[in-house]
Amino acid sequence: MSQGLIQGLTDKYIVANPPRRNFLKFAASVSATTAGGMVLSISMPALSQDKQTQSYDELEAGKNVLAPNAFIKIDTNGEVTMIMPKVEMGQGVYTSLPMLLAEELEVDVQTVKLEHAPPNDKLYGDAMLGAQVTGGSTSIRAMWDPLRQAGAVCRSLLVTAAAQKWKVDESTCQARSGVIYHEASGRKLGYGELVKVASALPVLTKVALKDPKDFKVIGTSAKRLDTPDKVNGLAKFGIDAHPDKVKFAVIATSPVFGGKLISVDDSRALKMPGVLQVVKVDNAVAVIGIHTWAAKRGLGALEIKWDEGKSTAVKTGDLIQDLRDASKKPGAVAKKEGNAASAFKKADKTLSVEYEQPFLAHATMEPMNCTVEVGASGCDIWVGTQIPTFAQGMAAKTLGIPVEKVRLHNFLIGGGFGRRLEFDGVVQAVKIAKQVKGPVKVIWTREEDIQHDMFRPYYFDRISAGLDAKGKPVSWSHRIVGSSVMARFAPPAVKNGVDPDAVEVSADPPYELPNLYVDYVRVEPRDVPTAFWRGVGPTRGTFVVESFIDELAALAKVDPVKYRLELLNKTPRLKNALQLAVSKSDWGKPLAKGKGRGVSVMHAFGSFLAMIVEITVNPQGEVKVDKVVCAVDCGLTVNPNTVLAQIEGGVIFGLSAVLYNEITIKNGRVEQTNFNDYRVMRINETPVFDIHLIKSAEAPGGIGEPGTAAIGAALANAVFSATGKRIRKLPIGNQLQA
Amino acid sequence: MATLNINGTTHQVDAPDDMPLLWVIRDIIGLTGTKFGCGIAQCGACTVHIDGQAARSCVLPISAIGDKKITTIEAVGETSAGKSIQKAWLDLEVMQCGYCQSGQIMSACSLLGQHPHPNDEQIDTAMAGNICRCGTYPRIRAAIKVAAKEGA
Amino acid sequence: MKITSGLMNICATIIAFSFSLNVFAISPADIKKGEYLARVGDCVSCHTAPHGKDFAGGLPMLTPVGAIYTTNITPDPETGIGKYTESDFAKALRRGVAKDGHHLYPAMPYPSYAKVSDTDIHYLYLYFKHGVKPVRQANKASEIPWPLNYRFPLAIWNAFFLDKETYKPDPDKDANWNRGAYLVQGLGHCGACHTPRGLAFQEKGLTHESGKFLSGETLEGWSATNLRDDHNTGLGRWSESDIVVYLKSGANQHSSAFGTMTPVINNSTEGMTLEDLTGMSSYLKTIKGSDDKGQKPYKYDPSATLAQFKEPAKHPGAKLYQQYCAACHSQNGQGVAPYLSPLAGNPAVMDPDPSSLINVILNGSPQLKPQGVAAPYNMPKFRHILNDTEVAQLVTFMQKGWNHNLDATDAKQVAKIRKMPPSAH
Ligand code: FES
Ligand code: FES
Repeated sequence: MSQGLIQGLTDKYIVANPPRRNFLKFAASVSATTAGGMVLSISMPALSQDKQTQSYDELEAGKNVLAPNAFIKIDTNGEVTMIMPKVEMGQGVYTSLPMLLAEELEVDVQTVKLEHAPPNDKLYGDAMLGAQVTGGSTSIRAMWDPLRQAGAVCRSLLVTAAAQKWKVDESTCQARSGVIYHEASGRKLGYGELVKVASALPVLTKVALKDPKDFKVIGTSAKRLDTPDKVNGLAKFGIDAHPDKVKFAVIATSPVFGGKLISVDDSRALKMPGVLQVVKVDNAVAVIGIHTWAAKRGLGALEIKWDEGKSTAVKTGDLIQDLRDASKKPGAVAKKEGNAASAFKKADKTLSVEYEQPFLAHATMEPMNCTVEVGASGCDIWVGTQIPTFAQGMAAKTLGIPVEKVRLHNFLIGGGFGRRLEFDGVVQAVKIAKQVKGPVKVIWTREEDIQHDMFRPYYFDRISAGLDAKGKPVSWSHRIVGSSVMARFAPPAVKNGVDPDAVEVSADPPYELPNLYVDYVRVEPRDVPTAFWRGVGPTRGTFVVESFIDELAALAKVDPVKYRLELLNKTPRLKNALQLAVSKSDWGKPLAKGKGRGVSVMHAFGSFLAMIVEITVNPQGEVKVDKVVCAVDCGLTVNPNTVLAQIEGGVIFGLSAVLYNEITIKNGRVEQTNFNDYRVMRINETPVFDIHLIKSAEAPGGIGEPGTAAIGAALANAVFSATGKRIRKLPIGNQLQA
Repeated sequence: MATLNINGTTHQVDAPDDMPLLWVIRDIIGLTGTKFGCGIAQCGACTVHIDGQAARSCVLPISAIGDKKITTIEAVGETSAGKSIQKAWLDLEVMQCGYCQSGQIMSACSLLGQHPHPNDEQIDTAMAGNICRCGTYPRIRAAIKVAAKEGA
Repeated sequence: MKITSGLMNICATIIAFSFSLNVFAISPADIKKGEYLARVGDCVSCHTAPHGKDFAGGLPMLTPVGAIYTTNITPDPETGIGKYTESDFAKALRRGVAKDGHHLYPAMPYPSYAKVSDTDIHYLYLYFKHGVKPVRQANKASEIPWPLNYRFPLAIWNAFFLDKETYKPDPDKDANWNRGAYLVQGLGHCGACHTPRGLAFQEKGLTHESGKFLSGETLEGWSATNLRDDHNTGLGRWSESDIVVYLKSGANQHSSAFGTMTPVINNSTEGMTLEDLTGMSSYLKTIKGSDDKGQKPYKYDPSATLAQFKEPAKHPGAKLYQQYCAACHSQNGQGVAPYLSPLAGNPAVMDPDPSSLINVILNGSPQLKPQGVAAPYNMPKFRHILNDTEVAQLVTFMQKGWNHNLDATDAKQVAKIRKMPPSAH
């Protein structure tokens, strides 16, 4: 059995003292201990067994490793290890980020070994997000400079070291594929041979970076580094953590939001074979077993009494009514240009409509899980998380211990989509583990995962516009009503009552709109917890703006592509993308009965997308998505193949939601349970893709979310084209059924 | 005590009759390549082979297995279909998060075992039970076709 | 203990029955007896709304003429039956006449309860009076439209259809059989679901002497199967112990309980004594069938069905079955009894009325929880994933499959059941 590239952290991780490293500084030159626990070393092919038992301090003390900054470690065999500041959830960062590093370090990216970074905001924080967070399609954008710098600094040290050894001028030495060459003399030294000398050199903080035209790695479809272990079952996700003597827990959380546990009769459960213990936390019960099955069977034998609190009668309709009521009053102004109200009065034609988008679950393929051991020496957490430092901090707070005593071991993530930006599962697992001896793995059943997700908020939008005699919009007002995830997640981001995420795209539409008014009313859905969901603000905003502009085109009796093109002059990259998509599609060609074509454009995350979707609506009112044509300008592309994959995946993710998904609430509890009633698109429903990347030298844009954000309106507009029915409320569901 | 033949090795496991093979493999044997996704046979993440045929291990009580041979993702590469599927998966960069992929690969291998040159209908039938939230379906279809061609 | 007028009443009743009982101390043992009988009668299943309090009523019962809401039978004096005397109670149970004189709809199985002995009525009364927690919850009016909501004709109905006799043991049969017959016909009210009803909603037969008794009926979109000994559609291939195992645990080698039978198992039969269950099964096994109305006796043969899986394009039902059902019920239709129900030869599948099959596919089944322990596997609902045509294809596949050779189902039948609210039971 081949040993994994990114293999489990469970059996052979090194618990070392906090690593003595600092951002872009020589390890040796820094003596202060940085906060943040431990180093995770992952067993890797070239890392021999005895080395794994050495701690970083030993390695560094013996100068057997060159670690000029927090991201790179080169050992005397020349093996390059990259410490990953981001987590891999399928978006390909475990390849695209090493590519940035390898480009400047001059190594073959395929030889780079990877380690998950320990939690440490200082070392691994994302400058755009202000913490060690993977999300918001920022990975490439935020790491673009730091990682290239990290590689370049390290390379320059190696060059200097070689030059010193050979006593030649640095400019006569060249780095290529992990080797420094001195062409004139035909001498060469591998990076490994230079580790000792280089690690004694003073470190530079900044060196000149390559001109993009010289890129050899960036811009290629380099093979992914994380996938070889994903075809043979060796890749380890959080759910695969298996510390010695681990016990297994299955939980039941109060089915009603805000409910509390009153009591539990566990007499039957405790008699069941393999059931070890029943643990109570404030709003949940956990059964601990010798395996997940025993725990699950034990859970099914409990008699639980809940105090269901004040929400027992709540249904989705009540929450929508809350939004509808609030939408009648003005909100916090997000954008005001010109005078939309008076322009509206003077307009030739007007249109005022409402849009609604449902609560959504993330339903990541890997259900929520977290393995925790609370012991005398602190707490170990094994989990795949997008927010390692927050999770660590919350665990420390929950236990009342210093943060250094919480050792968080991060893992590959089986789908994030925003769900693993939250620490609710970690805190709950810590509370359970505190009452259990030894490590315990808490796995949420799929039912728990869906019913106790933190949901994409329900949004209610009022939008109206006035057109002049030529059909051009002269007035545009848009009110967004819904929960503010930001207000909970990052309160300082909410300024003057405006949640910047909730109004994204809506407050900055790509179109020329002379009189624009956008405001936001925050309404929380009582006890229903809300969170970010793939595509965040742009997913919700693009659906409304792009559906509405299509309505205006119809009102003006202008072709929807033509209508957009005329208004897109202030966003030329988007206009260009739209023109490309149109040219690659059959736009304008006649459609057979039941067929429709829809368009949408999207600008967010630093990327520009245009989509044209072809669908068939059958006589039963079921939608089949036939083809998605997409033009993408995401600036300079690090790995084109990854971009294509993200568009395909993002679109399919969005299609499931637009066609089928909604979380509904009845009697204070979520009605959906599993993939049988939270329907997910399957292979037989998948459209054909035709994606075109636009070559660009602009700064790289994010690409994990744009596909999801762009598809909703394109599909809804295609439904209009096929049936004449406007979809103003998602999901499409059975709205088209007679 | 049940006796199970997993990847060519015989295991004595102390597990109740109703226990699904999934948790035996993951929690008792410690092979974690087989994943849990739904527990109700609707996602395919837990797919293994029973005598070469794809089966959802989350709803397969061990009492139903007898002496049939169980193959998991960790050993499927030892079969020729497994090898060509794995290679095609890597060549076409099918995977994203990868969590569903053990199951996808097991279903695809079983498909090739039955239909060495599957048409789209057969691919749909064999693969529609496997959900991928990352949306790798277009590549799965393409990779199956590549593997079929190379296996020929 | 305070002596209430109710108690005085009991006292009188008891004296009338010359029953020895210390009236000043109602014995917990007697209340327990009543509790057991209430379990046999499965009062809680109908008289409790989803997420509601036990016995407080409010469950909608879907009858062909409109929804009826079950009533509050807790001892709350205002909204429940707190003011009922034992004879009021007996009258309601056995005659379908409430204390205020209004007639209950025969969705309340009083024609069956008419068979219940005075002794058992007494214990039941004690339980509902003293063993059940009072809940203040007003009853909900029925949704039966005028003029059908006019209850007076129910008196006439009763004159026609109500057999006022309590159960009379058959001296030719043993005590076990008689006990079973008493339970099946009486408190167990099996016929309320399993006996066909006539135009006036009356059960066409209240004892085995009628050829219709327990021969299967469709109610609330579920087809309650034939419980006579027909080979294919009835209990013909079930042994007495198969029946006991089924009633005790909800599943056996032939089938698993689902749909509206689930609460019957969970709340009633799982807690019955083995003696009572044995009695019921021994009685049931003596009720002759009608030879499946000419169907050939079923013989398992999966070969033609297995062949269909090879050509999914030609067999849409097989394709769907493969995708959604085969993982649990297996291609050969044998499932993994008793955990995952066999479909081949299962009387519920061989029922000529596909309502149950359609319903269980659309709505899944409630969780079986015999002895307070959730069964390891549960049937999920598929209404969100499968359209009417697909469900019809699946049902037809099963009706034809594994040598069943039944008639096909069409999408219209599915559409009808889809529109019905999933049973509140
Ligand atoms: S976990 Fe078995 S099919 Fe989903
Ligand atoms: S690759 Fe992530 S779920 Fe399929």
